[in-house]
Amino acid sequence: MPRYLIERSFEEGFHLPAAPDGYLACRTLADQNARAEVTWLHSYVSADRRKTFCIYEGPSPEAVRRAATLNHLPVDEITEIHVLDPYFYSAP
Amino acid sequence: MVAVLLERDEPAAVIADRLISAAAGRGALVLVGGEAGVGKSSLASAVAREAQERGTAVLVGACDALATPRPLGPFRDIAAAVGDSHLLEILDGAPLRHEVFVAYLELLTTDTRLVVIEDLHWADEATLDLIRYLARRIGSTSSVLVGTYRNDELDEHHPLRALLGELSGAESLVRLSLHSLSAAAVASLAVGHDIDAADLYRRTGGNPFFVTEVLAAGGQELPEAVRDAVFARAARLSAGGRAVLEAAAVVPLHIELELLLAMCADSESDIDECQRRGMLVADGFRLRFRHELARSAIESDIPAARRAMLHRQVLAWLLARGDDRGLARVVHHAIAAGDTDAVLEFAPLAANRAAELGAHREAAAHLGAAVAASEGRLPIAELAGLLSRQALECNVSDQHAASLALYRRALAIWQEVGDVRQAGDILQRLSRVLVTAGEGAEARQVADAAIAALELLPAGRELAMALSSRSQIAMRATEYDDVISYGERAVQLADELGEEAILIYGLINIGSSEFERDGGLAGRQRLEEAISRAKAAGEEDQFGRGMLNLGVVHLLHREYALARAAFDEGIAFSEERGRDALALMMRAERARLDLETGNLDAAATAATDCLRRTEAQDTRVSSLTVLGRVRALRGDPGVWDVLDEAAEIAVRQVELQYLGPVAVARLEASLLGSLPVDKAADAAAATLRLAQERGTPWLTGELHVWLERAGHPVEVSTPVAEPWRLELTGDNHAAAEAWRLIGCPCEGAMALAWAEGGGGEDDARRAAVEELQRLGAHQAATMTARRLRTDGVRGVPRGARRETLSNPSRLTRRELEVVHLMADGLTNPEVAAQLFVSVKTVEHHVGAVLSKLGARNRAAAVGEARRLGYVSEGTDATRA
Repeated sequence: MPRYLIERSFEEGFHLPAAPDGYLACRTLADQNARAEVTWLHSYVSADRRKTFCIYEGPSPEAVRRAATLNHLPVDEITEIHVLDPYFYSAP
Repeated sequence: MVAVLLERDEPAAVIADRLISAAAGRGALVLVGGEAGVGKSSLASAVAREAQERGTAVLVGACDALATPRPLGPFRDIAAAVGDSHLLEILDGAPLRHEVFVAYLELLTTDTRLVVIEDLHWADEATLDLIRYLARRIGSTSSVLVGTYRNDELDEHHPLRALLGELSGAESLVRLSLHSLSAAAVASLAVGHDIDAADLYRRTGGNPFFVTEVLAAGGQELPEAVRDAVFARAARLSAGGRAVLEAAAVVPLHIELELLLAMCADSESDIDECQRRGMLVADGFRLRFRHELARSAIESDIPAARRAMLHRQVLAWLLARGDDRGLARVVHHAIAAGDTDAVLEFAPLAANRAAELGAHREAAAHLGAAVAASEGRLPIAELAGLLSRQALECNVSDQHAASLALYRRALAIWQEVGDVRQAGDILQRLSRVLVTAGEGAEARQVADAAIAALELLPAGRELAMALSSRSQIAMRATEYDDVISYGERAVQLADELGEEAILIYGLINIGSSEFERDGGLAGRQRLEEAISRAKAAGEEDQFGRGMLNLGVVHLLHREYALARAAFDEGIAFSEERGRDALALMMRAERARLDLETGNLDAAATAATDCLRRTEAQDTRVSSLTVLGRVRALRGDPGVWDVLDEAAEIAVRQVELQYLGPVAVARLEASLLGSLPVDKAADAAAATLRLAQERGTPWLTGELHVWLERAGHPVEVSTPVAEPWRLELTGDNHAAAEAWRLIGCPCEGAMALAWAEGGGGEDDARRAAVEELQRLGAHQAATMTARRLRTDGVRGVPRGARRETLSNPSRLTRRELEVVHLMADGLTNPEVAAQLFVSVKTVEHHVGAVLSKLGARNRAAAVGEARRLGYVSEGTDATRA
């Protein structure tokens, strides 16, 4: 399944409620993602909390957008990505 | 025997939960997948038992392991179980699919029922069609349909896999996968047996059927595979018991007690033994194996000669008794018994029956069996007839390659015999399959050959068909003159012969072409007349095709309201009657309409849905083009994956109706993606020449404008539709206004975006950026903003890609109810009790409310709901 980087902007900053509501919010997010057939792997958030960079797996960019709509999350840009790490080339 | 189900509480609870919602009018389809022996049936029967105890009606049907399954087999079981004479009558008469579908939908709607259909991996085409039909509507019934299937039997091309793909994401679909038992569960089963539980777990992988077989077989030696476990258990039977077991094993699903006694005389005590040992289970006056795995293991172990003998006995009994459970069963045993005469006699009859019920794949398989049995036993003309029927059924069930090969075999026979009429008839049929298979160029040659051959004979039905097929090919290529000349010949001949269906077919082609060429009322009226005639004659496919054409021509002329009305009516009509292929074509075209009218989301969703649901080339090429354009406009990845596949199909089909939009989409995507445009521009220029030749003002204008925008000017002398003409004359403002009046916001903004810079134009271009942004065409907005900045324009909307959260708190009715109860201070369990739903469901709603209202907790959500006026002020939320 393709993997995508999704950039989002939050003018007022991004806040996730504290537990247990935060747990519930995450679970709702996961449920809605499942409806759109995408999986949220993890995210980075900028220091000022105004931008997030989310890594998702999903069948298509449309599915990623649908998940965003279901979760009321903004989307700036979707980029298809591949994993690259320092061990991408193994030692001879 | 295990009475309790281990480690199945959760799936059982899910189904029970769905039954509660179903009673409130929100039905569901639950699909239970898992490997053979993992306990899907045990789960289904446990759930069924429990539902029955609570007073819910339970209906069970099963697909069977016949080489070619019974058409609508499980639904026939269900009709028998309900004892509904109306249903049985519909099934046994000359059924209209529509009637059958509606009758079963009603069954699910009139009462809360739990319907279980086992072993969907063996389902026939008609059963899958009916399930697809029900699945799309089950959300508003009051029943739960549970289907079980072996997920390890679904290869890539399995029809059930396609269905699963199609349904995924639907609200009313629940998919459950059953996994093998844990080591602990296996150990608990092994208690009291002198067996190493860890070894048992390792050996069986926790497969419940395997585990219970091993335990039932007893002994210290653990079997290697599930078959060995079955054999070990059977080995403990007496010789008589073993004979009974083998006789029962050649009959899939279940065997009538009477039949078993006929095969094994005086075997009552042996039958008892098999039941006592748990190898066979009684089911009314029938017996079945405890599990299909056991049956197939025993059957495969019977020596070939004895197995054939047993099948002969079954066949003789079925034939003596007359047809009850259907011809499919007779054919299955005739083949296994090696009785070719019986195959030749009954397989074609079984094929008729299957085709009547819409199980075309099975009809083709039966005919294939007859063809295989005919080797040297049939006159060559009869063989050609069987081949041609099999080819037809293959075509209807989307097996185009097989269909082409069979028609070619039949053609060779007729050509060898020198029967020109038959050969000509096969040629015209072949040309139709070639069209469907997307082989446009060859289709045309073959259709011409058919006409040439048939014109040598006195004119008859075959020639009329060939002419109308040729007219259709011309229509797809946008060759108006040919459509009309061949079409009129076909219509005239069909009229003389009294062939209403061919007549209507021809009229629809002619009407569509005239309407497309001339626009205006006369052509449209002619097409609408043909459509009404199709409806009056009960020609459902023709009616659907007419509506498709009507919608497409309106769409080409950018008459959106009329196009949408035609598609909506055509889709509703075709889906109601289970004619999904046609409905999907219209859905794909309606997706294009959504795109052109500025609803990118709807367009992408519909196009994706179509692509998921069909391999049909026409539908795919339209959907891929829409999806490619949406991605390009938004700046999403994957533009070229879909546009390359679209181009591949369009080029193979050589049809302007597909080549045109694909060429536009590729040029647009190249420009929006800041890629080199030369290749896309060349393709567009070639397509433009074709469009001019055919005289298509809208497509001509669109290609011309895009080539200009790409900096590839061309000469165009033929008429161009008004909004495009305005842009070509440099009056982008007027063009944008024309697009606005037509209802094409995206084209309007694009016209402004490409206006020459300077003066008052810049405001318009700035407005275009905002409009494109609003439409979600972020990439187009970004590109326009960049061009503006390059031109030195200031005050261009920045951060162009930001998407505002429109309507941040769009709560559903249910969620509003939940907010109200939250405001009243109810806890989740209390809300659940109040709304008659599970606590889990309430948690889900509360989560959605929190996220939609952007609230950190319940109190904040209630506060926000008050602020927005969803909840009145006075209510108390302190208990939350």
